[in-house]
Amino acid sequence: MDDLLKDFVVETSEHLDIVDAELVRFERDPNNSATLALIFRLVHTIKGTCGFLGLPRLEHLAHAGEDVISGFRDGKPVTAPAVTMILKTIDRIKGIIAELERSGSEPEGDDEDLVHALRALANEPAGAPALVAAPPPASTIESKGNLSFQVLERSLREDEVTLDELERAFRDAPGPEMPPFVEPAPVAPPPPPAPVAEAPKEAPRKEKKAAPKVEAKAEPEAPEAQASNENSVSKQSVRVAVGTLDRLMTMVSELVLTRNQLLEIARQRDDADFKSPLQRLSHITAELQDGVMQTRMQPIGSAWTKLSRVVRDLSEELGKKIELIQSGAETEIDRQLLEMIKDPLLHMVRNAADHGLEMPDERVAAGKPAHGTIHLRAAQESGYIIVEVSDDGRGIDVERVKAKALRNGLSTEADIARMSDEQILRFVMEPGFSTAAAVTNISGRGVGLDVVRSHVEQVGGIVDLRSRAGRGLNVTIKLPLTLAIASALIVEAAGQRFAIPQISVAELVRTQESGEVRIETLNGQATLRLRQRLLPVVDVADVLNLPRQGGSLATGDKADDRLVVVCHVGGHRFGIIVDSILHTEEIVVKPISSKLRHMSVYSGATILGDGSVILILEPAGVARSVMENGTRETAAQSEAELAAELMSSAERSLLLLFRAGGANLKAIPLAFIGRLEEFEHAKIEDTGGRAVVQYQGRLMPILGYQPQAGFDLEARQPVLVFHQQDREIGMAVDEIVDVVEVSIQIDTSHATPGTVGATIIDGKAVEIVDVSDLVAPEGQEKPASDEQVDVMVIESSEFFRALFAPLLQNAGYRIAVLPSLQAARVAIARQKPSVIVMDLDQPGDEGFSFVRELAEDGTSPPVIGLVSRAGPRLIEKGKVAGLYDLVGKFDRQGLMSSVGDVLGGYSTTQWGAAA
Amino acid sequence: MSAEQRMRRDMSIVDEIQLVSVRIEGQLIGLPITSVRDVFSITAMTPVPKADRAVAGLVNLRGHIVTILDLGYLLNSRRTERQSEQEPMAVGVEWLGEVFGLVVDEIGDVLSLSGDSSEPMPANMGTNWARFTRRVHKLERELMIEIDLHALLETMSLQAA
Repeated sequence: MDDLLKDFVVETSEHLDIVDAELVRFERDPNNSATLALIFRLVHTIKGTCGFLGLPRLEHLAHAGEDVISGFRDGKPVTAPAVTMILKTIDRIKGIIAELERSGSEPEGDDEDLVHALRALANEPAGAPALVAAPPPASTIESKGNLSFQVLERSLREDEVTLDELERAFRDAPGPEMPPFVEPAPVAPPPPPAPVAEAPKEAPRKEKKAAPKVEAKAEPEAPEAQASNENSVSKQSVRVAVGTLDRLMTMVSELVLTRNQLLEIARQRDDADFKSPLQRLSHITAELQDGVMQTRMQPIGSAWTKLSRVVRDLSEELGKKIELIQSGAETEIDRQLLEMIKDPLLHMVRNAADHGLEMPDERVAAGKPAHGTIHLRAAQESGYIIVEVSDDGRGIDVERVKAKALRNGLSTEADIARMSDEQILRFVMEPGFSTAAAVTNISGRGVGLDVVRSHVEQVGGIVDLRSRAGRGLNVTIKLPLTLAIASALIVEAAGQRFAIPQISVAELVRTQESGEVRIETLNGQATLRLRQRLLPVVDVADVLNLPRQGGSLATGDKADDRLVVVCHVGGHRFGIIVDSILHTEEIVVKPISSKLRHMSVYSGATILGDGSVILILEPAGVARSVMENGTRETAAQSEAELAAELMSSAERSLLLLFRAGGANLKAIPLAFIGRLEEFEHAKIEDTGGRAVVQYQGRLMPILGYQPQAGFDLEARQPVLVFHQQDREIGMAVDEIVDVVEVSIQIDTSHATPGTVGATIIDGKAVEIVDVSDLVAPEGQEKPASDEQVDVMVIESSEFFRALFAPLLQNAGYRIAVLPSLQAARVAIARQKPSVIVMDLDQPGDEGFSFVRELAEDGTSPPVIGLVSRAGPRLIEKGKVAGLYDLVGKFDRQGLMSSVGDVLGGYSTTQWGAAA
Repeated sequence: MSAEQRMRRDMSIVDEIQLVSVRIEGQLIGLPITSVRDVFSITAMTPVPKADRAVAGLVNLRGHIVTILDLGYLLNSRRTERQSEQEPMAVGVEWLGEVFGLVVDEIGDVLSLSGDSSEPMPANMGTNWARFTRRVHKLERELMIEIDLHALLETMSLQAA
């Protein structure tokens, strides 16, 4: 492709983007003659250049489009169909340009359809009732003849066009009719479309075509300030190939590295002669770096221009009224980063328009204005670029996300109960997660937000979601200023140094064996207790299989005095254990070899000041590698292990140990506890002899609360919160001791009122507290033994019988609880349950054969199997046997939703939903 | 014309070829000079934990990060035992715009050979050898194996790490 053509393609694409955005603005504000003038000029330029380069198809289209636009100029009403038609034309032109760029010549084809439609528009009498106030009619009369003149044959030669234009320009040139044009300007001063960004694009146009006639009419129309601004900037800017800038940046990066090396040497040797020139070099390098980075900066608004068009099209397609507000469009951002976030931005805006914003009538019913607003915001804050997309739509329903996350097996009930809303919201950024009920043309295929996240994380950025139910969603992206240079923490593990990007580091802590901050093991996994929160921690040396002196954490050693880098990535906080923290350094991130790129624990490599190469750790990858190990282990289990798992770990569960009213340890299965909270004693009030506290906007009763004697109102009262149907109940405890995973062997013979029995943990007797009163309303009777029931529970353990019965009753089901399969066989015929919930842990293979028996019978109700942990192999086996679903014993939510599915009449099975 | 003769004729068309001779565990190996960029000694190498064992580490070669591959491991599927007296040497090769360093025991002369002196690999060589080599050159004193660098770097099964 020759250079001229290449320039044309680049330039025209830029112009078209601007036209797109301007037209959308113009449609809303048709009285703004400055906008119209700008559009006209751009389209005219395209037309002129096409004629010059011999591109008849493009020229023809642009010409027809120009006619319609000139009709607007002449006072024709600006109607939505007309704007749509022009946008369509622009799309067609874009298509041709893309082909031109690829092949170097115009593609074959015919545009008569569009041209005819455009001509019809252009020839429409101007007297049609205007949707909007027409501009002053002064120029209307005068340009009429001109219009019919324009509608010539298709093969206009360039000189003809120019002549025609000249004539028009002559007529429109400043003269007696000028005042009406100037008049609207002060009324609606057009937000100057990022003049700095635009100026360089305009410069070559003026040079190349030297179209004085265009300017002649453009300048008097445009507000004075804009015109002069454009002129001054255009003279000072030069068009530079992006490749040149990138090369320059690479060289500066190298220079920075070399300078760092020199500084390192100078530190070691105390040479005064050396020092002052080095200081100067250092200074100049820093300035050069700033300068070169500046050349790579572009206002973020250039990525936004497309969005206004997208929003306009979406609002037509969806039948919603959407307004796009932009602020901070002038915020400058590295060109490379800009490219990387273009797609995520598009995704987010589409998401907001499609899912976020409600239909107008829905909005009005909710007391909101009929038109929805999407707000794009950008700003530079403390060394990062913050880009925000917010809408005032319905927001994300946290409860639905919870349910979906549980069903997709992304988390467990116990985990979710401990999560903040922000953390729960993050599930929507997991691959394949979409809460949209229907997949639409625009979005909802579950590939939206996870794409956004992966794009943003790829460039070292962070995505955050904030949802206010019913009031909208706010997505914030935090990006580094540039990709090339990053600040990093240099750490050491097992004798090797690594860099951790500063952007993901939240804080550094040192642990002590019995101090405030300490590392404890839970189920063989290390956790960090930090300010009363438990964070997962991973040891870099373990993750990377590095040999270390003195044993690793995974083997259960409680090492003290560890250094932990607490990272905050994607709403998750976790710790990375290192041996020492050396210093921070500005590093030039170099891509890692193609042969290592598949390793998610590294994001790149760099050369330090002393010349050594070190690897850059990707904190999210490090954390993920640990979690992946966990799942891989489950998948690799053999059939024999499977059976063993089913038997041995039968009743292993997480128990919360605490003390309340006495020195004895008490325990409650963690799965039944909604949350752990602490309240100041001062906040706990006494109403009618009952202790209550304001919790999530409501009053929550607290059982077992002992008012504190006068002093120390600052002290906090730990409270276990239980969810009961639609309200919460608190239970005051003296002290929360620990969470342990144990295999429960409950001795129910010691059951006393308020407990279901006792068990031995670490050699100590622990009372298991009866929570059935807390999770189920009182006063429900078990149905008689021959009455029809909804749910039949077959469970041999008294402990679980005591738990499930109130749970299901609480949900309003009629239930029958049976201890054995033999008893169940008799009872099924009589009580005709709609669903059977059974413990699969039966002697031998009896559990599964019972399921098969029922499945073959055909008339039997669906069976939901209970296992201690629903691994993928068990799920598979259960599926083969004919189970409806498989649920973990402590997965309360899973059980309830599965039972709900059956009784709610849904017939689809819920495979893989539990665990 | 027998198959062997035909092959010889085909190879002689290739004409002269220049090979950099290196030695790995006693075996003489030839690398086509067209893909060799430079030869350097490995000073400070950073190991890459958890990477494929064929990746020996990363070095700083005049401000560029170069991935060092263990040629012996690639060919023999076991880590090369090396005498610790001297710094290991590496041959820098360029492949798809990226520079890799191949660790070798010894670097020798550049030899100009013609196709006439060569034969296809004998069938009883190990699979890796058969896959990554082009042919055997019969030198006066010993045999030299000509490596197909493209095949070596392309089929390197590092993704399985």
